[in-house]
Amino acid sequence: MQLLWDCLKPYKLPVVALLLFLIIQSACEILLPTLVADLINQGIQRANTDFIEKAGMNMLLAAIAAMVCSLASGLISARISTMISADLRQQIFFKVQEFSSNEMDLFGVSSLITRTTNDITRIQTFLLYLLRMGVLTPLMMLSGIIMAVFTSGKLSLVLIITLPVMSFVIAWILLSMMGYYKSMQAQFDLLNLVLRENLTGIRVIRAFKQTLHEMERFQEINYEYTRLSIHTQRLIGILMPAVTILMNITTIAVMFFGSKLVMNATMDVGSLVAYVQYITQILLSVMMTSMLFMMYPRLITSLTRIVAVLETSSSIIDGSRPEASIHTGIVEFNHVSFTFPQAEEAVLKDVSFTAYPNQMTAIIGSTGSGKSTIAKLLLRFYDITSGQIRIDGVDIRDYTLHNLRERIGYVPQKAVLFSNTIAGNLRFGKKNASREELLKAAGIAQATEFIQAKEAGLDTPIAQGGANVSGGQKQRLAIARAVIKKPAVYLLDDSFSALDYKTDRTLRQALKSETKDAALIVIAQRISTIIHADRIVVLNEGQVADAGNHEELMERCSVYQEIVRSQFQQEGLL
Amino acid sequence: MSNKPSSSSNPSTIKHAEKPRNLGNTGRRLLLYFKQLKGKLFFAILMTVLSTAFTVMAPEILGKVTTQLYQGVTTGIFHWDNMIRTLLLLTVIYLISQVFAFGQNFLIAEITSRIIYLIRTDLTIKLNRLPLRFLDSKTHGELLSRVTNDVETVSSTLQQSFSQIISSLATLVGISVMMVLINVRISLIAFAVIPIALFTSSIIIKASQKYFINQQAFIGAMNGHVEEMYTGYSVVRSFNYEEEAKARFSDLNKKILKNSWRAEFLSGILSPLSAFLGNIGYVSVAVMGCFLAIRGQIEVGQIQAFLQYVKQFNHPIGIISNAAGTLQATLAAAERIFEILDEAEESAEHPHPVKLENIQGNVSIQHINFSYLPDQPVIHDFNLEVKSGQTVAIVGPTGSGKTTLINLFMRFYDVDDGSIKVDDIDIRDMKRDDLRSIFGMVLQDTWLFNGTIAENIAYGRQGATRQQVVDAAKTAYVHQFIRTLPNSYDMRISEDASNISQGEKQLLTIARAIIADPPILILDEATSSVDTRTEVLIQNAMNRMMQGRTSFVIAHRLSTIRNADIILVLNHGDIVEKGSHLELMEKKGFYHRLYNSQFEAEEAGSV
Repeated sequence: MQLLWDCLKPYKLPVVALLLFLIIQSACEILLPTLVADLINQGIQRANTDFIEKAGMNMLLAAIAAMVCSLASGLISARISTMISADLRQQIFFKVQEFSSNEMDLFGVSSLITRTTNDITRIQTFLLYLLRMGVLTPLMMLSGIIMAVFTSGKLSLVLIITLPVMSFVIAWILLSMMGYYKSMQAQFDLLNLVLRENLTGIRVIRAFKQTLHEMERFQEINYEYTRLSIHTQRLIGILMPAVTILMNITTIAVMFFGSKLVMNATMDVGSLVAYVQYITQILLSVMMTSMLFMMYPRLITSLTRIVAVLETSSSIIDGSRPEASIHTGIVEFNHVSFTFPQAEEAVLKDVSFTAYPNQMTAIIGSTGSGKSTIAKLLLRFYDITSGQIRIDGVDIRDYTLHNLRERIGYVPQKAVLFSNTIAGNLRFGKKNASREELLKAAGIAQATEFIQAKEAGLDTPIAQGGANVSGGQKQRLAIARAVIKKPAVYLLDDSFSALDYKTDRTLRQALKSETKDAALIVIAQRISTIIHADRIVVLNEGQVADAGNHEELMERCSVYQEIVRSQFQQEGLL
Repeated sequence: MSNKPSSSSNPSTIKHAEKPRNLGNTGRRLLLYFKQLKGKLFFAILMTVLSTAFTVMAPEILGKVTTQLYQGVTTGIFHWDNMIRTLLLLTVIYLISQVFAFGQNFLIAEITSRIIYLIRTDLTIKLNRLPLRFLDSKTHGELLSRVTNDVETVSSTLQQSFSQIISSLATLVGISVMMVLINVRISLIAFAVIPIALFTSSIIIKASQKYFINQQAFIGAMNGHVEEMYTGYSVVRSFNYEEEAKARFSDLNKKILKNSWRAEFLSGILSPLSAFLGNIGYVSVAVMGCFLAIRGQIEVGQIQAFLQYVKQFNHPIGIISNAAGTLQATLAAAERIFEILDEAEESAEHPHPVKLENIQGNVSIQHINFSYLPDQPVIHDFNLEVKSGQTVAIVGPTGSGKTTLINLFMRFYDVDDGSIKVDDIDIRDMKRDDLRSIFGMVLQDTWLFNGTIAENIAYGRQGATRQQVVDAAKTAYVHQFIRTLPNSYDMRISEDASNISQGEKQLLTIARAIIADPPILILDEATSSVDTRTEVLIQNAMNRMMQGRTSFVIAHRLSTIRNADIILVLNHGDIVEKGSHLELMEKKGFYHRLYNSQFEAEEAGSV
C-alpha cells in the first residue's frame, strides 16, 4: 500500500483538485433532496409558486455544478491512474533490466512477465475505481450523515444500529470470499501453465496423438476453476440482497419513527421525505465503498508482487572505475571458486588459467563440469565466490558492467534471437553497423549463403525466439552478432553444436583469421571443434584436470584421453 | 492459408486493430453461448423480473405512508393503524423482492462461469486443431494473451455486468409502468430524458472504442517485447542492449498511456452525464409535482415515490452506460477470441480414411514440392523410395531443409504438390492420428510436460503400464539414471524441466518414442549440450530403437551416416545426391567434400 501512496505523491495538486471537485459534487447532490423538502414544506403547503420556481432554478444549478465537477474529477482520475500504472510498468521493466542471473532465477521469467503486465493492469483498474468511486462514496456518505443529523438528530439514532450491522455483514461476506479467491488464483496459474505447455509442446503432443489427453488435462483444471468461480460468485450474490434488505428495514424504521415525530409536530413531512433519501444515500455509499474492499485482496497480492521486484536490487554491483576499459584481452582466472546461491557444493573449485589474445583457448569437459559457468562468471552474470578474474590485469569487478560486456563477444549456448530483421539482430553487436559490416560479419559466421537465399536478405524478419530459422542458422547469426562487436575477448559457449561438421570447420577457420588480435575462448563438447586450439583446459567436476595442446593432453591427461576415445569410437575411427 | 510466418515480425495484433471491426457481430456470437444454458437463463430472467416487480412496487407504497402522514398533518387526524398496516405490507414486499434477487444472483453466477468454461473449452479445442503454419507464425505470448487475458476480460465483465444489465433493464421497464400508472404527465417529463441519455452515450461509446482497441493492440505488442527481453536476458545483458530495450518499452508504454487514459476518460464521462440527465429529470419532476400538488392533482406521497423512481431510473441508465464502457473492452477482447476460433483449421480428415493394418514401413516420396512462404520453395521435386527396415541418413549443411521433412511426414504441414506414401497409401488418406502412430519422433527440442517422469514416458502410449514404462526406460538406457532421482519414476519435472539435464531429457524422449513402438522412426541426432558419456548412451539407445524399423535420421555422426542404407545429401532443399556411402564417395561430389572436411579432423584425432 505504501507503494501506492508513493506513486500518488507526485500528483498532490491534481489529487487535491480531485478532492475539491468531488466535495463540491457530493454537496450539490445532497442539496437536491434538501431543496425538495423545502418545496414540500414551503411550496406545496403554502401554495407558493414563486418559491417553487426559485427552488427549481437552484436545483438545476446544483445539478449542473455536480456534473461539471464530476467531469473534471473523471478527467483527473483517468489521467492519474493511467499515468501511475504506466510509470510503475516502466519502473519494473527498467528494474528487471538491471537484474542479473541470480534475480532472474529467483523470480522466474514467466512470473516477471506477469508482474510487468497483468499485475499492473490490475492496479490501474483499482486506482481508477479508488479515485472515482473510492473517494466519492465516503464523501456522499459523510454529506448524507451530516444532513441527516442536521435534519433530525433523534431519527439519526437509527443509523447507530444500522451502520455497524451493515458493516459487519459486508465484512463477513468479504472475508469468507478471500479464501476462495486464493484457491481461484492458484487454479488460474495452473490453467496458464497447461496452456503454455500446450503451445510449446504442440509438435510432440500431435506426434504422440495426445491432443485428446491434453484437452482432458486442461478441462479438468478448467472445470475446477469454474466450480470455484461459481462458489465465489454466489457468495458475492448474497451480498447485494442482504445489504438491500438492511437498507429497506432501515427505511421502514425511519418512516415508523419519523411518522411519530411528525404526529408530535417535532418534524415536518418534507423533512421526513428528504430524510429517507439521505438514509438511502448513506447506505448505498457504504455498499459502494465495500466494493473497494472487494478489490483489495487482489490488489494487495499484485502490489506485493510488484514491490518484491522493485525492492530487489541486483546482486551484481557495478564497477567503480568507469575510466577502465579492455584493450588487449588477456583473461586470467586466478584460483576461482564459485558456488551457486543456496547450493551446497561449489561448481568451480580453484580454477586457474589464462587466455591470451591471438590464441584459441578451449575449455572442455563433461556436462556438470562447470564449463558454462565460466562464461557466466566472466560476463558477471554471477560473481565469483572466491579468487579473482582479471582482464588486462584489472579485476573484472572494477570495470563497469557496460565496459566489461562491451568488449566480450558472447555467443550463448542457446542461440537467442529476437523478433526483428536479421540486420536488426546483428546490430545488437554494434548499433550503427553499416550493411557492409553486417555482410562481412555474416560472411565470417558462414551465414551469407542462407541470408542471401532469402528474398529480403538482411531485412528478412526473424520471428520471436528465432522460430523461422533452423538451429544451425540461429547459431551462425548469434556468432555473426558477436563478430560485429569486434570484441577483445570472444566467448563461445558450445556455439557450434547445431552446425554440421563442414560448416563448423569453415567457420572456425574464418573466425580464426578474423580474431587475430582477440582472445578466443571456446567452450565445447566436440573434440573436433577444439582440436587445433592453442591451449585446451580440461575441466573435471569443477576442477582443472590439466591444460595444454591436443598432443600434450593425449600424452598425459587421462580425462582428456577418455573424452577423445569415447567420441571417436562412436565414429568408428579408432 | 493467409498467415505467413513472416507476419509475426510486426506484432500482428496491431494489424488487426486497423481492420474494420464488427462489434455487433461479436456481441451476437457471444450471446450464442447463452443459448446452451437456455433453461437456467430463463429462470434467472424470471427471478429478475419478479424481484424487480416487487422492488418497483415499494416506493409507491412508501408514498402512501407519506400521503397518509401529510393528510394527517393538514387535517389533524392521523390513521395510525392504516399506516402500520401499510408499513408491514412494505416489509413483506421488500423481503420477497430480495429473496428473488438472491435466486437471480445464484443462477447467474453459474451461467456466467459456465459460459467462460465453454469459451475456454472451445479455445483449447481450437488450438489443438490449428495448423502449425498458423501457430508458428504467432508468438506464444500473443496466443497466450488471447486465451488467458482476453478470456479473463470477458469473464469479469460477464460476472460483474451481466446480472446488472438484466436487472437494470427490468427495472427500467418496471419503473416506467409504475410512473405511468401514477401520473402520465410527469412520467412523460421523466421519459424525455431517456433518448437524450441513449444518444449521448452512443456517441461517447463510439469515440472511446477506437482507443480501447488501440490500447489492447499496444498491450499485446508490449507483452511480446517484455517476454523477449526477459527470456533472452543473457543476450540483452552481454550486448549492453538494456538501453534500447528500455527505449522500445518506453515508446510502447507511452502509446498505451496515450490511448488508455483517453479510453478511460471517455468511458468515464458516461456516468456523470447520465447522472446529470437524471438530476434534470429529478428537478423537473419535483417542480412539476409541486405545481400539480398545489392544484390537488397529485398526492405528496406520490411525489416522493416519483422522486425515488427518477433516482432509481437514473441508476440503471448509469449502470447500462457504464457497462457499455466495459462492454467495449470486452467486445474487443471477445473479437480477438473469435478471431482465433475463426482461423482455418488443419485441412479436414479424409472422409473415408484407409484403415491401417500391419504397416511394413515402405516409404515412397513422389515429386513433392513444398514452401513455407509462397514463392520461396524449400523442397522441389523431391523423390525417394525407402524399403521397410532401411535406414535413411539425411545430411547436409544447416538450413538445407532437413527438419522440413519431419514437418511433412507428420503432416504438421502438407505438401503443395506430389505425394508421400507409406505402404502405397497416401498419408493424406489416413487419419492424422493413425499416421502419427506410424511415425515415432525424437526431436532436438526435448519437450516434457509438468508431470512425473513415468507420465512423460507413458505419453508415447495411452494406458501404458508401469512395467512397460520401466522396460522402455531400460531400452533407452535411462532406467539407472531415473533410479537415482528423488522419488524415482514419480519425480515431477518442473515447469521448465530445469531439474534434469539436456542429455537426460533426450533419453526420456527416446524412451517415450520406444514405448510407442512405431514402425517408422524419425530421429534428430542432436549433439548439442550433451556430455560425451550421455551421448554414447543416446547413440546406443537410438541404434537399438532403429533395429528392424524404417528410420529417417537427421545425422551428424559419421558412423550413422556410413551405416545408412541410403544417404540423402540435401542442399537448399534439393537432394543433391542420393546413394550409399561407398557410391557417394566414388562420385567425388558434394558428399565427398562434406565427408572429407570432417574426416580431416578425425585423422588428426586418431594420431
